[in-house]
Amino acid sequence: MKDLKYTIYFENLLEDAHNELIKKAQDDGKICLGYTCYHIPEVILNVDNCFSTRLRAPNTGSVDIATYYMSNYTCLYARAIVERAIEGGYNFLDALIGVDACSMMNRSMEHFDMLNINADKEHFFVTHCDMPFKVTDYTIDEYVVQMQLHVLDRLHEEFGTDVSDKALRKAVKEHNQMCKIISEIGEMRKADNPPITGYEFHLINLVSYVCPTSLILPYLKETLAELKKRKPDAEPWYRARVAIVGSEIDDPSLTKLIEDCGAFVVSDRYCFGSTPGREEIELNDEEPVLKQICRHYMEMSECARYISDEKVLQRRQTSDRLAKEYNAEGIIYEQMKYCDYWGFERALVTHVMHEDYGWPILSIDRLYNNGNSGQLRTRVQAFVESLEIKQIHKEAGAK
Amino acid sequence: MSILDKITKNMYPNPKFYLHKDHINWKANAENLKEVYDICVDMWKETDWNAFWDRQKFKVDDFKARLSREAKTVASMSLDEKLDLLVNGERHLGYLYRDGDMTTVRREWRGVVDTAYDFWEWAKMWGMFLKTFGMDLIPALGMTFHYRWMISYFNAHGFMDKLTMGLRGSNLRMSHEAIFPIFRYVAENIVWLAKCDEKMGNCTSLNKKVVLFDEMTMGQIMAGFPDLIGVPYQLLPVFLVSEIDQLVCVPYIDGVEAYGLPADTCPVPSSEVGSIVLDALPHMGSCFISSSMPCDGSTMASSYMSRRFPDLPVFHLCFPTRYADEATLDCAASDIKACIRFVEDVTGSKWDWAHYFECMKRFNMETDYELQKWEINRSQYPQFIGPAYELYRKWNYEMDGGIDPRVEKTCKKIAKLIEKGYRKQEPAWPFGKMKHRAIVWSCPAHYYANFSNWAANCWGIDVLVEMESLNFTKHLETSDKEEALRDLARLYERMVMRRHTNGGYQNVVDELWRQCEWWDVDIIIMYQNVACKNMATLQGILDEQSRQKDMKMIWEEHDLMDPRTVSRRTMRDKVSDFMRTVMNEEPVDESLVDFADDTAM
Amino acid sequence: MKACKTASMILGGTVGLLFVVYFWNLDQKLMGWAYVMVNRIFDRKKVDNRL
Repeated sequence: MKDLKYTIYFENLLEDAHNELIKKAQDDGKICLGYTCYHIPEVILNVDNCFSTRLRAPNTGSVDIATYYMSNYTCLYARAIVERAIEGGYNFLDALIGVDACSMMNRSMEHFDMLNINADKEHFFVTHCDMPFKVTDYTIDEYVVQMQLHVLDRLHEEFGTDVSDKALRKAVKEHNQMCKIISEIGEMRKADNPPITGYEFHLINLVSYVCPTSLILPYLKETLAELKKRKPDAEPWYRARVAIVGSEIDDPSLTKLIEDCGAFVVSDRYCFGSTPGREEIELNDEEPVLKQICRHYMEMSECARYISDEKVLQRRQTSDRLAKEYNAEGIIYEQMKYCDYWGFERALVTHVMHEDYGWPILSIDRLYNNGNSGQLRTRVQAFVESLEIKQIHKEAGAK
Repeated sequence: MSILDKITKNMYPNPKFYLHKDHINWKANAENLKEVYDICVDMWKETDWNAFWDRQKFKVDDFKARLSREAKTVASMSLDEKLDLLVNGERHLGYLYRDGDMTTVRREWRGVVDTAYDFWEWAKMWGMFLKTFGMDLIPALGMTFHYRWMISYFNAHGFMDKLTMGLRGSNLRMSHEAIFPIFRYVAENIVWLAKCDEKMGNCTSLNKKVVLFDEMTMGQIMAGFPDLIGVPYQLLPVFLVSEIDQLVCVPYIDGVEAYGLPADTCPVPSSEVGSIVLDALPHMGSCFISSSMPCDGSTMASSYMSRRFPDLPVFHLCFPTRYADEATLDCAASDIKACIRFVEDVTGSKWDWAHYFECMKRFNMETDYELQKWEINRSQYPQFIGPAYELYRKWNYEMDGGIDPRVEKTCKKIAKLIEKGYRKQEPAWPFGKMKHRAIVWSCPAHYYANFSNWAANCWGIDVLVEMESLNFTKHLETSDKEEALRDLARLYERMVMRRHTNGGYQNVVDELWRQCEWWDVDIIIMYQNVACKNMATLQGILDEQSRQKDMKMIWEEHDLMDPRTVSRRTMRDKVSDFMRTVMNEEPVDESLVDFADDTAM
Repeated sequence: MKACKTASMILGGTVGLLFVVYFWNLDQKLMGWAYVMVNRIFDRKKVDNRL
């Protein structure tokens, strides 16, 4: 297939946390809010004069200093964030909207306080919001209070941000535009011979997280139009279709590695993926907007931290549903090394999805940067081969 | 109310619980015993009897050699030394260990009076075990061949010995006073487990009255349900037993890692989940209250529970992690209310405010006693310190929680002993072992529950307090119902470990320095559970700040419930190296610097 | 009188025997042996490890 017009541009945007679109937005007087976690409703960070950037630490090499502070048995994403912060890589942020969701990421945010990162910036602040573990009426109320007190009110105090219902609705509208485009692009992966690869989709989705929505939207619209006209190769390029489920992946080279092994990543059910995160938010006129947004994020969340039985079941059902909808042949359950939530979830659900739902499963843990992992490559190759063989047997059986 | 009800109303535990009829599946148990018998026969056939008799001969020879050595040692003593030995006891405790043995070769000689007292407590403990297990003997003993962990409890006296090793006088007495109610609680709960377990007693009527809750979830919510039994589910099969038996969690950890769990997760949730994978938890109870525990890993165990026991209704009691933020309190209180409603719905019981307030008044009184202890212990003449105190505090705060009225007597007795000892300026540790004032921070190693005992006996490092004891000390509300629920939420948010590891780094970093000053310590023993993510993520800051504040900190690595990663010996070597190289000191008891306890309980 | 003497002797004997058990740690040595045996049995026993 012919390369997409903006593939290289998007790759370049992802090379640096402080990319050119962020610089442009800040030059236009906008406030840059960093965040890491799905539990912070992305849309409320894009209200009025603010825009969000979901933090990555691209091209992370050694994390020695962060390891001194946070030990070597901890999430590499969390450590990479601290390492980059100490290096000054997040000096551009105007605020950090942190959550106390997973303990390691929480400590990452706390290191900004303890190590006085950006302390010289007059209005810079770090929030530590409490996150519920289950969805009930009172936990939704608590979530709303947390977002109001620690995020919106704080933005209003520090930056004069308009956090009214009207402003939130405007942010939701723009967010929904972006989600609609991403979802439409994502749907293309359902085709037997799709006009997009999983890697390309991952790039597109990632830039939507890290760049100001208003500035990335035109590129996304253009890319959608281009994809609608794109002619795929005569034969599909892949050997097997896989869904990915698990913890955060902000490294597109992982998707590239998997696809280089002959797999096509048809669905991305992970943090920094499109599920959850790119569903349109439907608002009514009866309830306060913030409450509706919070409920949406809670109900859509697939975070392993939600421990109620309904949520545990929801995660399994979502994986199953997505894999079926996108015609996957197998599921790769992945986790960031040292992630406790996904460590426990992956161990159990690998068995459940195989025994109860009948899916072939590849279960892996991985580092923060994965492009050069020979071990991972070998395991994915073996998985692809096993799926191919299953497919051959299935077809032979059908005959 | 019937006559029986009137008689038993104020008894604890209510004897009516024991009257529920068992429905033992004799056939299944016979099959189980047959399997055990067959294995025993195979083991008998495979036994290398030569090696067995050689080992026995070695033991007899060693016994003779020890006797001879000890007799010669005593014979060579001066009269004063002999008198000192007779009155005050022996001073070289390392000689009690023998390589390859699970127990000490004999019990400690503590001098005539203290040995007699210890003997009495030993007999009392056995009496209590026999009496309690006798309430439902067959299921209680039968559990031995269903659950591997049960046999570890038969070695509870060894645990008592190691908690009291080296103690004399008031501290010995206080330690025994504190240990007794804990072991009584253990024995009673073992009987409940045995009675209710589907594999053993299978008492369906009693099961309807049993509410299971997560091992580190606090017990106070059961104070409102006097007609129900609250059982901390994984406490006996996993958590507490790992303090008695250093090896008990190894099969759980290996089992769950074979199942697919990564090896870097904390051994507490790993062991919990491993016990579920290996079917090591009794099948019982009307419902289960799961909780958001101190860490991410612990939160996840409930999904494994639901997989093993799909028919057991679960309530996820989830408290805010940012508990200092009072904006989260309403949510927490609502969760408590919802939990109470859940228990009422499942069991048909009704929350009893009067009983709850009565228990919380008792808990408040126990808190006052605790605060008095702290005042004395931070003085120049600390009294009740050591591993028995540490265990008692945690048990009383979390498991008992004011529910057991018998504990009041224990608190009063200990308070009297403390006061008496303080007035006499009695040293908590004898023989010049009051050299250093220490605080322990972070989670201690379960497989070395008496580490503070060794530190005092060997190096004179006296642990005045540990982090896990420094919990919520506000009096709980005992009249206003809404405020009572809010206080209960505050209490639960501040359960052991959670109080410090959650809610912000200030609760563990700034708090440490504050406590160091308050207790006037000169050494910090910083436990470093290699898999504890909450604490590991602060190791750099703690290290940095300790140097800035010129505090002597010993980093004591361990793997909580898995002694294979960092053994007890390695933990001791860390302290010994520090004391020799940094503090330039020699041990108080040289025999304890290096001894073999790799297989010991 | 004779009964008292007999009772005292029995009591004394029992206490003495118990003290021997206590001081030489015979109870824990027995339990320790049982512990090893029972753990070996469980090493061989079938386990239901299917979740």
